[in-house]
Amino acid sequence: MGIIGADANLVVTLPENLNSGTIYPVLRLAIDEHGNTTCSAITFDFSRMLFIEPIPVVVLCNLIEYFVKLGIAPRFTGMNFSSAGVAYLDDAGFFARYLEAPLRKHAARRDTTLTLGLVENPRSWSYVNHDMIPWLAQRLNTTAIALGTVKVCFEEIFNNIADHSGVSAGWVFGQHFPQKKEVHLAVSDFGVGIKPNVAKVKPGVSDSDALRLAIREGFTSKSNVQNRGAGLAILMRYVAERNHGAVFIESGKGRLSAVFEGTGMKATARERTVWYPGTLIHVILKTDTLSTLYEDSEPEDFSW
Amino acid sequence: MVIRILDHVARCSTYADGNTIFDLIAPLIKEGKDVTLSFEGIDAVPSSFINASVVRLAEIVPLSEIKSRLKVVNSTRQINELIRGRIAFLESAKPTP
Repeated sequence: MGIIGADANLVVTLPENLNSGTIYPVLRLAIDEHGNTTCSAITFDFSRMLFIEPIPVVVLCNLIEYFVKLGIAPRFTGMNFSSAGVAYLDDAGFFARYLEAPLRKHAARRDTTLTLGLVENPRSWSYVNHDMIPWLAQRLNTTAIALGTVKVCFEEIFNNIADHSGVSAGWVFGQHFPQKKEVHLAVSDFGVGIKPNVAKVKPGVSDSDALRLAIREGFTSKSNVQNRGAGLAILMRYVAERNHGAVFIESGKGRLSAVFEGTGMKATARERTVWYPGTLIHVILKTDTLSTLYEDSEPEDFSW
Repeated sequence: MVIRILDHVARCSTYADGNTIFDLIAPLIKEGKDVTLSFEGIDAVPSSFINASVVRLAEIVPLSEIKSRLKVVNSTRQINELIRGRIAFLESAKPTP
């Protein structure tokens, strides 16, 4: 990660609809595939943006933090209050974080959205247990205990960031879509990504094969002595297989999707032309089948 | 001997938390003593915790010894399935003599 060359101010005009696909041209403009940038100043132009989905919010935040870490303070322009996308970001706390105050006087977190947060590794347990799960329990009209398995899914993700990413924090955001009966949650870091870790034991592996291996129970990159290769496998099992939800992992040029199909989980990884700097995990929980996970928190006598 | 996990760690989230429990259990199991591990007050745990606290026991005693010496109480379905699943994975991955 660094500055190569010293181009003048780069202006990144955000697209009309900023979603999981349209965020990629934004990334490509700002960072190359080696994690470097050529600009010495950057301005994000919101004037065209009318709509933003929850997942690219964490990507945008990581991108901004990337420049902050390089000592480049991103500038923002074109924030139009009539844009639903700008209002959404404002209510999520985005502008309050970067401009020290919200754009609108009455900006406030929406009931349907999780607090946008940069979660430092040592604080991740507290974040999951005291922010994410209570919000989810309130949205789904259930208890934090009933969401024990969901809690574990995110502890697995944060343990992965702490153990493998090489960075100290990940951005988190999410939204409940009551009509779709879904909760979308995204966690992303701009760390080393999955392939460099897998390549330590599988030299020359592609990004998509690295993702395939990373979700296989028992496969370990041996990044540290603690690895036993279970975290992502467990995330997939709980979300895709048990909840019939979905997990999407994007890292480097690889994209893996895990969904429930027929009688079990189907995981598919593919190589793309676009590149993600780090790791993005997008979890879709199906709220109408979450009760299958609630049962996991019930007391049960143990036997081998 | 009964070891109530929350008497020794504030939470069951990381490998380090599990390692604290491993350090309590391992010497006892190694000496051939029975250990009862109580998950009282805990509804679910991630794999890192079980890997450190229970799965690592396989590095010092055979799996059969873990199964005969270690008893788990006050647990939930998630915890039970995770322990059984991780140990079963070790069994299946073990090379046949």
